[in-house]
Amino acid sequence: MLKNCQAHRLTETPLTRREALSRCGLGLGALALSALPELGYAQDMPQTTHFAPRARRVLHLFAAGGPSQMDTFDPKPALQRYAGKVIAAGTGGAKERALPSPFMFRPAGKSGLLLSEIFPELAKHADKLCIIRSMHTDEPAHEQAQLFLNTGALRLARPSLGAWTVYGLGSENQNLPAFVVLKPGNYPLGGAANWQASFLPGSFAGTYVDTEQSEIERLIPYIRNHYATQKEQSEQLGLLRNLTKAYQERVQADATAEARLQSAELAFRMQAAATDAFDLSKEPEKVRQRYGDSAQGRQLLLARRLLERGVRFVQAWHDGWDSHEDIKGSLKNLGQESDKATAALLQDLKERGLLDDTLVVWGGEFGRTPSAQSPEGEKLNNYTGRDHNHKGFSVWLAGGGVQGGLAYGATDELGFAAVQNPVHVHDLHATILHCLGLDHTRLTYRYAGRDFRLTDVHGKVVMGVLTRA
Amino acid sequence: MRKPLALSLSLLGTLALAQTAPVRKALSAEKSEHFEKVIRPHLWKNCVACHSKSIASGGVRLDGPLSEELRKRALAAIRSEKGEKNIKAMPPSGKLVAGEREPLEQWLIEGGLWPEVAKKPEPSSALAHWALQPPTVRGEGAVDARVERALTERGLRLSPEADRRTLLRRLSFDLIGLPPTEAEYAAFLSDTAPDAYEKQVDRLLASPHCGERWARHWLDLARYSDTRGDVESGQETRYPFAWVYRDWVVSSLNRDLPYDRFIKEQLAGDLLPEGSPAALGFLTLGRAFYDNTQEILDDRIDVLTRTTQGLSVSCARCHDHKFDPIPTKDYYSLYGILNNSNERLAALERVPEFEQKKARTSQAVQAVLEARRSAILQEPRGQLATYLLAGQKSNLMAKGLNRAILERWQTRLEQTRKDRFHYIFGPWHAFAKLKPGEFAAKAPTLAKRFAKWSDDPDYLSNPLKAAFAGPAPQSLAEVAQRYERVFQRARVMSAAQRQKDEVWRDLYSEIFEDDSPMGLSLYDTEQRMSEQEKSRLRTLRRAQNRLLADPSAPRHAHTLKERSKDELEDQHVFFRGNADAPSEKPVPRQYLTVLSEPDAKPFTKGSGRGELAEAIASPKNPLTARVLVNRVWAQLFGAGLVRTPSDFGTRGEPPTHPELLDSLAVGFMEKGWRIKALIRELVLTKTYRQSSAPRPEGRQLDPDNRLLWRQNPKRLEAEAVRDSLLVVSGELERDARGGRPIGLESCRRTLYTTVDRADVSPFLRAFDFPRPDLHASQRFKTSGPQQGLLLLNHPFVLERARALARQATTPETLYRRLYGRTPDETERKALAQFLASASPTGTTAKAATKRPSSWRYGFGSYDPATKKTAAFTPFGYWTGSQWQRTKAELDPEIGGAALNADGGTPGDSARHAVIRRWVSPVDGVVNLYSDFNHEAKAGDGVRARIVHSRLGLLGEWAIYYRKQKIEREDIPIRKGDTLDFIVDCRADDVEDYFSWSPYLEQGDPEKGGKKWSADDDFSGPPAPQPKPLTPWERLVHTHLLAPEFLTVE
Repeated sequence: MLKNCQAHRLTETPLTRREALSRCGLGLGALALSALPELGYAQDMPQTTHFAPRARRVLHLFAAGGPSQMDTFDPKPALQRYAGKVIAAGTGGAKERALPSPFMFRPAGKSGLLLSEIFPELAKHADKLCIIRSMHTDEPAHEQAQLFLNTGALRLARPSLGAWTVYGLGSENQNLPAFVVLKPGNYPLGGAANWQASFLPGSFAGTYVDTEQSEIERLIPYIRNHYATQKEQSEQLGLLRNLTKAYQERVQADATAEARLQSAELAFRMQAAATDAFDLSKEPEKVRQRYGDSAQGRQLLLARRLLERGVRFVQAWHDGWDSHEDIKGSLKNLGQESDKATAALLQDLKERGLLDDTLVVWGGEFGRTPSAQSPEGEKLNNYTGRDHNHKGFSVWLAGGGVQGGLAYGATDELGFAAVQNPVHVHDLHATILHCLGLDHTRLTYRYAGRDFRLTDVHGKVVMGVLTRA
Repeated sequence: MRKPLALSLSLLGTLALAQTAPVRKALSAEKSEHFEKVIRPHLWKNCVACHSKSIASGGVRLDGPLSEELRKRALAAIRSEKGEKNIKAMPPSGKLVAGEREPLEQWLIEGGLWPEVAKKPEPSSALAHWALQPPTVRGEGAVDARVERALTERGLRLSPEADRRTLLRRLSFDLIGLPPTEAEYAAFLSDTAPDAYEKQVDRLLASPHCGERWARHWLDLARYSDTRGDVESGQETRYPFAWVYRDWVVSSLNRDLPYDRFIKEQLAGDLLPEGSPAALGFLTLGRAFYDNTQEILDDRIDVLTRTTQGLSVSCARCHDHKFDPIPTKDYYSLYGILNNSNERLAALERVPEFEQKKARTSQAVQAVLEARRSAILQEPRGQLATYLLAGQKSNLMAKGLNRAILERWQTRLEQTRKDRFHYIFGPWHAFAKLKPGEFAAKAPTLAKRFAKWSDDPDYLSNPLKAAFAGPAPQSLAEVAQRYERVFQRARVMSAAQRQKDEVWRDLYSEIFEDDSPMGLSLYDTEQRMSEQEKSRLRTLRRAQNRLLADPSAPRHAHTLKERSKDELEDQHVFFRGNADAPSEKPVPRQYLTVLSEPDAKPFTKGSGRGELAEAIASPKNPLTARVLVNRVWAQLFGAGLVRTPSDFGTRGEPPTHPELLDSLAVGFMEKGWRIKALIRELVLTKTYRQSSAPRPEGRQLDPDNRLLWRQNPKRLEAEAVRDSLLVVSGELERDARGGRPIGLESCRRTLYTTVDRADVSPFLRAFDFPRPDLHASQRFKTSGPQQGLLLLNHPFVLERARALARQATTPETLYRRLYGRTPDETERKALAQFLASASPTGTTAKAATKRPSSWRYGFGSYDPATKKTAAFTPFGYWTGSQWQRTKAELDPEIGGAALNADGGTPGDSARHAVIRRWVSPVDGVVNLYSDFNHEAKAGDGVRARIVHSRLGLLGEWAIYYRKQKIEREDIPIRKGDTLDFIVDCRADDVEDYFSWSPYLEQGDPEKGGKKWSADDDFSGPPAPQPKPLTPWERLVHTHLLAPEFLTVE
C-alpha cells in the first residue's frame, strides 16, 4: 500500500490532491494530513521520518492497574530472607512487612531470562522479549499514572502516544482508522483522554472499540445502514462521483471537493473492510484455538488482524492488575487470562513476518510494593496484596528493533525502586518513537505559541535495548 | 487574618534571622540553566518533598537560597553513609542514586547558590515586537485599496466578483451560519436595485441567527461546555446553568454590545454597574480538574490571555516565558487577581419558594457535615492543653487522643519552633526548652519578659501577654493550661465579637479554623465519614442537583464574587509551578508588565479584577482590538491576517498585511468597538466578494493565498452541516432560541445541543468540533472516513433526506431548495441515469424476526399502602450489556441503578428501586424459580420484592451477604398482567449489587410448555427497522454528501 510512499507528507505544493490520493491510496491519518497544508498548516507537519525506522507499527498491550513486578518479570529472591519482617519500603511511609512472591521464576529460552511461572506459554518466547526492569514514573495513582503512560502528562490535556505516532507517520491503510483502542467493558478512569488527540487534529485520536461487544455496530458506530443495501449504496456512490465531477468542472473546485468524495468512498469501503477485520469467524479454528476462547484471546487475535491490515497503532487493554489483595490468586488468574493469547500473538506475528517491523510493548502504569498490604480490618498474617509503587516496575518490548532475551536495568534488592539504568516513562516514549524512526525532540507540534513534544523537555532514548541498526 | 510565618520573621529582621540569613549571591546565567535542568529536579525529588514551606521537616527548608550553615549541613547529610555526629544521613529513604549525588554535591561545594528569581525580560528586542506597539494608521485607503496594493506589488490582482447566488450563499453562512432558503435566493436574484447586496447584508446582520452564529466562534475560544469534565466519581458533572452564559453571548452579539464592554462584562460583570453576572461564565465554565485550584486558575489565565490578548501567559507558570516578555511573576500577578474571587451560583430571578427549597437542601447537606465535624472535634477541643503537651512530646501514640489532630499540633509546633518571637507560640517554645529541673528557677524571668513584650500585637498576642503577667507558671503543664484558657476564650466568643477585634480573630484562626490544629475542613470531615454517612450525603446532594437542573428552576449564573477586603491575598510565585515551593515574598496584583506603563502601580480596588478588565478593554492596549479584528477577518476570509489568531507573540506569524490590520484595529476602536459594523465593512469589500475559483497565476505566485487574490473556499463546520440538513429538510425550528441544552436528535440549531466535555457526540467530533477542554483558536478541517460514515448511515441524516424528498419531488425543486438554481445538463443526465438503473425499493435485507421480548427494564418504587408498584420508568440507556437511566455509571439523580442479564444494582433510595418487569403473553398459571445473591459484606444489603399487577405483593426479602432461594408455583396470570421483580437499597446504597435472574415456566418446557428466562431473554433495545428508501429518496440523500452541499465557495 504505502510502502513506497513513506514520505507522503504532501507539504510541497506540486502534488495535487488527486495525484496524491491515486498514487498512495492514502488512508485516514494521511488524508487528514493532506488536507491540512492547503489550510495553512503545512509548516506544522513533520517532513519525513527522521531516520530509518526499525518498526512501522505498534501494538501496546496495556496491563492496567499496576502489575506486580516481583511476581512477573523481576524476581526478588531476597524477599524470602525478609519474609514477614518489617522493611522500610512502603509508599505510605509506614513500615510494612516483606511479602515474598508465591511464584517460582524459571530460566527460559536460550537467553535464560527469568520469568514467573504464571507465564508458561510466554516463556517459550523469552528470546523475543526485552524486559526493562528499571521503569519508574511520577505518581502512584491509577488515573494520573495511566494518563501519564499514555500521554506523557499527568493532568494536562496532551496528545496520546498513538496520536503522536499517527501524526508522525500517517496511516498505512485506506479502510480502517489509523489508531485503534481495544478495551472490553467501560472506559478507563481517565476516559477517552487516554487516547486523545488533544490539540492535534481530531482524526488522530484513537478509535475506541469495546471488545466486549460482538456486533460490528457496537464496535464502530454507524458502520451499518439500516435504510439501504450495499448495492444501493454503491449506486449512490456512482451518482456522487458524477455530481462531484460536474461540480468540479463547473466551479473549478480544487482538492477539497475531491477530499469530500474520498471521505464517502473510504467510508463505503470501510463498511466492508471493518466488518471483515472484526469478524473473527474468518480465522481458521486452529488459529482461534491457539489464542484461546477468552476475552484477551479474542482481543489479541483482533489486534493481529488490524495490524495486518495496516492499522498503525493498536492499544489493547487488559484490566485487573491492581492486586491489593491475594497476589497468589489474582496473578494466577491474570496469567491464565493473558498468557496463552500473548504467546500466540508473538508466534503469529513472527510466522507472518510481522514481528520484525511491529513493536510490541507490554506493561502497566506503575508497579507494586515488595511489602504486603491487605484490606482494612484484616489480621496481619492475612496481608496478601501489594500496594501501588511508582518507583520501580517492569515492562517488556518485543519485535521491531529491540533486542530479544534481554533484561535491562534493575530495581534494588527488594524490587522497590529502579536503581540501575533507570528508565522513566518519558524515556520509554522516546525509545518507542525512536524505533519508529522518529526523533522525540524533533517530533513537535506548534500549539499555543510553543512547540509541544510527547516527551515535553525530557526523555532519553534507551539505546541499550535496541538492536544494532 | 492568619499571620504567615514570613511576616513575623520579617518584622524582626536580622535579629531572629542571624543564623538562617540566605546567602545573597546568585548564579550566573549559564549556571542557572544547569541549576534548572539538573539541580532543581534532583533537589525537588530528593529533598524538598520534606524540606519545603509546608512541611519543613526538622525546621529545614531547601526550597530556596541556603544559609552557609544549612549548606554545610546539607552537604554533610548527603555525603554521610551512616550519619556523622549530629547529622542525619539524607535522604532517609537511602542513598542518592548514582548520577544524582555528584551534581548535588558539586553544587553544594560550589556554594549552593540559586539563580536570581524572576529576571526582568530583556526589554530591547522583545519589546520592539510589532504586536506590542500601539496600532496606528499608516498608508492610505480602505481595505480594498490596501489589499490591491499588495497584490499589484506581486503582479497579481483580485478575482472578479462571484456570481450572485454564490455570494448570497457565502454571506448567509458567514453571517448567520445557515444556507439561504429558496425564497431568499429568489428574492435576491430578482432584486435589481444597485444596493441589493447591501440590503442582504443588513437583513442578515439584523437576524437573530447572526448572534447564534458568531456566539459559537466565541464559545470555541471560551472552551464552553455544559459539563464540568473531571470530577470525582458520583459527583455532579453538569453545569446546570452554563446555557445562561451561552444565551448572554448570543444576545450581546445580537445587540452589538461594544466589544470593550463585552470583554469587561466577561471578566468583571459582577462588579460593573448594570453588568451581568452571567457573563462570568467565560471564566467559570472550564474543566473541574477535580477541584484543584491551581489547575482551575491556570485554565482561567490561559483562556483569558489567549482569547483577548493573543498571548499564552500560561507558559510562564513554571518559568519565564521562553519567547515572549512574560516573566513568571506576571503569571502569579494574574493568578493573585483571579484567586481572590470565589465561584458562586447566583440567582438571576427571585423566586422565594425556590430559594427556600434550595436553602433547605443545602442546609440539609451542611447539617450532616457540621454534625459530623463537631462530633469529631468536640472532645479534643475540650482538652486543648493535653494536646498541646502531647504535640510537644511528639508522642503520636498518646492514649485516648485523636491521632490526626495530634499530628497537626505537632506539625504546627514544628513549623514555629525556630521562630523565637512567634506572636503566639514564641513563649511556648521558650518554656518548652527549659529542662524540668531548671523550670522553677528560670520560668519567672521568662514570664516577666513575655509580659513586658512590646505592645504591638504582631509581636505577641496581647491576651497571651496578659496570661504571663502575675505569678509565673510552675510547670510546662501549667503553661499549657494558660494557653488553653486564652484559646478557649477565643472559641466561646461570638463570631461577631471576634470580628471586631483582630487579636481574637487571629487567635481563633490560628487554632480553630479549617486547616489549623483544632479545625477540620468540611472536605476533610467528609473523608472521615462512614460509608453510610457518605451515602446519605450523596442522596442529599442529588436532591440539590435535581432541584437546580429541573426545567422549572429559575435562571442562575455561574459567576464570581470577590473576597472581602480582609481576605484579599497577594500570590507567592511557585517555583517551577510547584505549590510546595513558594517564593518568600508574594507578587503584587497587577497587569502584565509588558502591557503596563513603566511606573504602573499595583491594583487597589478589591481583587483588582475590575482594573484588569479595564486594562484589557482599553484603547491603549495594543493587542485587544488587533486580536479581535483578526478573528473576525479569519471567520470571513478563511484565514486571519495573522494566521495564528491566538498567538500574537514573537513565535506567532507576523501579519500578512500589517498596515491593514492596524487601520482596521484603529477604526474599530474609533467607531465604538462595534463588531457588526466591522463585519459590515468587511463583507462589503471587493476582496470579500471576489470569486473563490482558482487562477493559475495566483496558484503559482501565492499558493497559500496570503495576498488574497481570491476568496478562500470553506468547508462547512460541524454545526453548519447539521443546521443545513435541517434547513433544506424544512424542519429547523428557527424560533426556538436559548434555554437549557437539548439533545442532538432535536430539530433546533446545533448551538443549543448539549456540549459534554466527557462525551462530545461522534457526529460533531467527526466534523472537527473542538475539544471543549481547551481554548480553540481555529477549527481543524480534517476529512476522514468517519465523516463519510455519518453522512452515509446516520439515521439523523437519512431522516432529513426522507423529509426533503417528500417536499422536493423533482430535480428542479430539489436543486432550487439546495442551491437556489436548477440542475445543469450534466446533472440532469446523471440524475436520470441513476433513476433509470437504481435498485427498486425494498430490497433491504430484513433482520431475522425475533420473538418480541416479555421483559421490561426500569426503575421506580413500591407502595406499601396499596401493596402495588407505585411507579415504573423504563431505563433509557443501553450500555451494550446493561440497562441504565443515562450513560453515567453513577447517575447523579438516581445513583447506580442498573439491570443486566444476571442481576443489577438498585438506585440510591426506595424511590429508585430497580424493576425487572415480566409482561405475561399468556393466560393460566406460571411457576417461578430463582436464586438471589447479595455478595458484599458492606452496607446493609438490599430488599427484594415480587409484585403482581393484580394480586399485589407476592413476597418480600431483606438480603445481606447471603443467598436466598426465591420460588413460587402456580401464580395465576392473565395476558397483560405484570410481575415486577423489585430490588431497593434499604437504608443505604453501599455495595448493593446483586444477582437475581428469575426463570418462569408454564407447563413443562421439555414437553412443549413455555419458558421465560430473564437471563437468556435479556436484550438491548430492538434494532431499528426503518422503511427502506425509495430510489428518489436515495437520490436526494446522495446530494447531502455532495461537495457542493458541504462547501461554501
